[in-house]
Amino acid sequence: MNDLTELFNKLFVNFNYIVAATLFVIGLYTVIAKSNLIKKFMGLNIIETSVFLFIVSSGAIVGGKAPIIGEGVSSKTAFVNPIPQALILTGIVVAMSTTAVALSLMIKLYEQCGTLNADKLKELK
Amino acid sequence: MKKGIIIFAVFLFWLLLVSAMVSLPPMGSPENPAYSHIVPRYLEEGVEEAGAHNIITGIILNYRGYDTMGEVTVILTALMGVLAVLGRENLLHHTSKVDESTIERSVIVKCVVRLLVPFIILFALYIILHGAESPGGGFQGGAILGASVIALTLTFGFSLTVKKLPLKYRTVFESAGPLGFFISGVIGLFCGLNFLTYIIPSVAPAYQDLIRHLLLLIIEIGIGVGGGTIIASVFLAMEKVGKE
Amino acid sequence: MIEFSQHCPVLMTITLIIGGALTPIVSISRKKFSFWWAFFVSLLAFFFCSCAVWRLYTMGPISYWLSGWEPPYGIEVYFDYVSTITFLMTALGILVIVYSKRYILHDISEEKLPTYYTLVLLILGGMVGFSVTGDMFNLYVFLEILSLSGYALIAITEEKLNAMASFKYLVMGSVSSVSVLLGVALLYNVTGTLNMADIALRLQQFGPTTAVYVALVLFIIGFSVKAALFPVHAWLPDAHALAPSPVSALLSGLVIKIGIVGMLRVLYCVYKLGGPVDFTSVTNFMGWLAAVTVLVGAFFAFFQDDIKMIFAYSSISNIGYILMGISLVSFTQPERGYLGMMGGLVHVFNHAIIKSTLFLCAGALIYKTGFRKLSDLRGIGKKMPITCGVLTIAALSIAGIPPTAGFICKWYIILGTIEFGKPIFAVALLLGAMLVFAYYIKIINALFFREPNESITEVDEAPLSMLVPIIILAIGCLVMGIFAYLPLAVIRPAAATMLGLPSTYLPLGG
Repeated sequence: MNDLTELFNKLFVNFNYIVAATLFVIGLYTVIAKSNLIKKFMGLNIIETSVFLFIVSSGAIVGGKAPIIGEGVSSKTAFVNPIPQALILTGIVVAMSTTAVALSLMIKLYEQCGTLNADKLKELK
Repeated sequence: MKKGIIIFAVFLFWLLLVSAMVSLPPMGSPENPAYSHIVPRYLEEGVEEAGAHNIITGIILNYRGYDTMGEVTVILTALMGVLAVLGRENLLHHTSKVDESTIERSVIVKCVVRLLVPFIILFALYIILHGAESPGGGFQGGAILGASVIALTLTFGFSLTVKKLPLKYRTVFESAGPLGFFISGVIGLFCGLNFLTYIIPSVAPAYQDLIRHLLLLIIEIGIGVGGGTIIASVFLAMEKVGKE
Repeated sequence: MIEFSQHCPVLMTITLIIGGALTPIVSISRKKFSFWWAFFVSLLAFFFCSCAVWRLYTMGPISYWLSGWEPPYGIEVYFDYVSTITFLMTALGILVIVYSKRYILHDISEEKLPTYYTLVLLILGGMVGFSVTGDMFNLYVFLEILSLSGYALIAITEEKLNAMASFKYLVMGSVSSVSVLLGVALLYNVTGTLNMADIALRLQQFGPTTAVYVALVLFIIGFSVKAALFPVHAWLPDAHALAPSPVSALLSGLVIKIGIVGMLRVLYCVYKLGGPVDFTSVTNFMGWLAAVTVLVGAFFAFFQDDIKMIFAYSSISNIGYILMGISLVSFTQPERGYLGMMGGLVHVFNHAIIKSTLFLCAGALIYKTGFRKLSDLRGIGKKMPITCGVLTIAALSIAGIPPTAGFICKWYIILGTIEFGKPIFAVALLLGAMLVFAYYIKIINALFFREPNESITEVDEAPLSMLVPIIILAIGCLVMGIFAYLPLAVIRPAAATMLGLPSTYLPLGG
């Protein structure tokens, strides 16, 4: 009983992480199960977003402020962790780049084959 | 049937991830290893060492500047990928869907966009140049810059944008991001320091801060201009879809 | 010189990346100039790489602090013995660029030339940066550079199936990159740092939690997709066979090795043998997968008629050999994994040379005849003797016939499995080697001994700019086989340091 309470406690404290894991899995399901290429790609974007959510949550501090140090503010605990924010900026740019390449591939596929359904594309081969 | 197997496999993966998430240190506590190891130095000395009041900008451009150089290269790679797949826009053989569209864009839209775009560009420049002091920076400003070009294209047509932003200039601006890093980084290299070092000891101490500001500014402008142009170029390359 | 050589690991990366970024600018007015520029940039990178390797073997590993920040605070570039693979990357890059001069106009229009060379330089830069970095997040960034340029290079031609193959690669590759990123994020959350050496240190300090194990699983999944291990290999055959031949040579020779380098970094530099996490159960499971990979790759290659498809499936099989070699480690007795690790690392080098020779030869045949099916190419050996001769040397090498390059590493890997006490793996590897031998005999037979195809008339030898790279590579195949102690001596410290042994380690009697 005690273990169970502790587990629930942890689930509650790390709620953002659990949500990130769930989103990751939803995205993974979309990538594997859907046959429309655009939906597949949306699944990929969901996975990427879930990882960003996880990273940015791991930098959160209760009651923390944005780490911009102005005049007279220098207390250490007042700021959130800046590293994850710097990391997801990179991550977002990478995700955007992948999206651009994937969309251009889909434009070309649609021009050539007239469909974006993975099953139909397999038949066209 | 197939769906059931996928759902089951994905569920197992979810259990794996959740078991990891539960074992992590509690979120939001200042005692976390993520908060107590490297961050204190960034927060306490970041303004002095990295030369930016916005610690995130300090990390992006200074402590982890090499990552950001890679990141800028990723955007350039994306543009090259789009160009490899679709090719540059070609006005001779293709007509744009936007120009061909039978819907006449209303006077209100044209007027508003014409009025707003200078201010949008001004705002983008502010975001780019003020990134060291407030939220913002090269990437954010670059995205706004690219968006302003897209807004112009959608209202005034494809051919106008291509005429106003000729390919020759765009080709140069697209590479501005990595080039900004290269120019700023190589100066340290010539002074016998490591790549991407902005504090040059052989200069009089009074000017060191100024030089660092200048070098960081070159990088920010490079990222902003490069990012904006790349977004515009990707948009134009995708726009080309049309008939022979 | 010492001052200068210390900067080389970073210099070669930025040379390739900035050179790539400048390619469209220098060739605004003359598209064909982009070739000379790319050639010059790759030569420069090769020079820097040689300096770095020279320094490595005279003065030990190079640790370079970017912007001058000491490691956990800034990014560290760490050039160690495993990073010698960059030597191969830059050298192969030069040959591929020279080969592309004539070949690539066969596949793409002149308009796209600067884009093509930019992407080639960026993919090389990404791989070089990936192999020398000592920072986990930096690893992810360079992984994305090389993956994105890989997807784009496959789809650069106007062929119908290429976009589909590239999209399949993109979806699987992106999922794998994201799982690597999630692994990095988990490790960051547990340890609070991104530097590899620092993570290893702090893992020791905190002890293993579930999250650390899950991060390991995520890394293995991510890098397995990049290396095309058995259950996740589906993207490879189409992507490697349909890409333009020089690109196939790069992808098959080098890009799949990135998965191996990533695994080496994560397993043996971050988690470490003798560290807090006993990962040998995972690697032994990988050994089983590798055995299946060897057999599956060899089996499917047997039924292909398309010459590039055969080579693509053969890459899967060979990746199995390499993974087998690097995954047979014992947690408490690192010496027992030495032979396998050695063979695996040497095979990384040898397979890169051999497979790029094969793909470039196939490219020369396709360039001259326009056919890519073995049944159409029959009897071409008399018309293109040099190309087919080189192809024969490479085919014998990959089948592991003694005086050529493929023999020594397969021999070491098989010895390693026996040393490790898993003779069943040795049986699987030998079976795979026999299948490989059979289908390469099939190729040689078709090229030389079947009566010529009548529709191929007036075909002569490939142009010089294509012959020179493949002849250099063929000489490489022979040299790596006949003077096998050369690669062994070069790789020995890498294998020893990966296992946590001193870099001068020699097994008894070895």
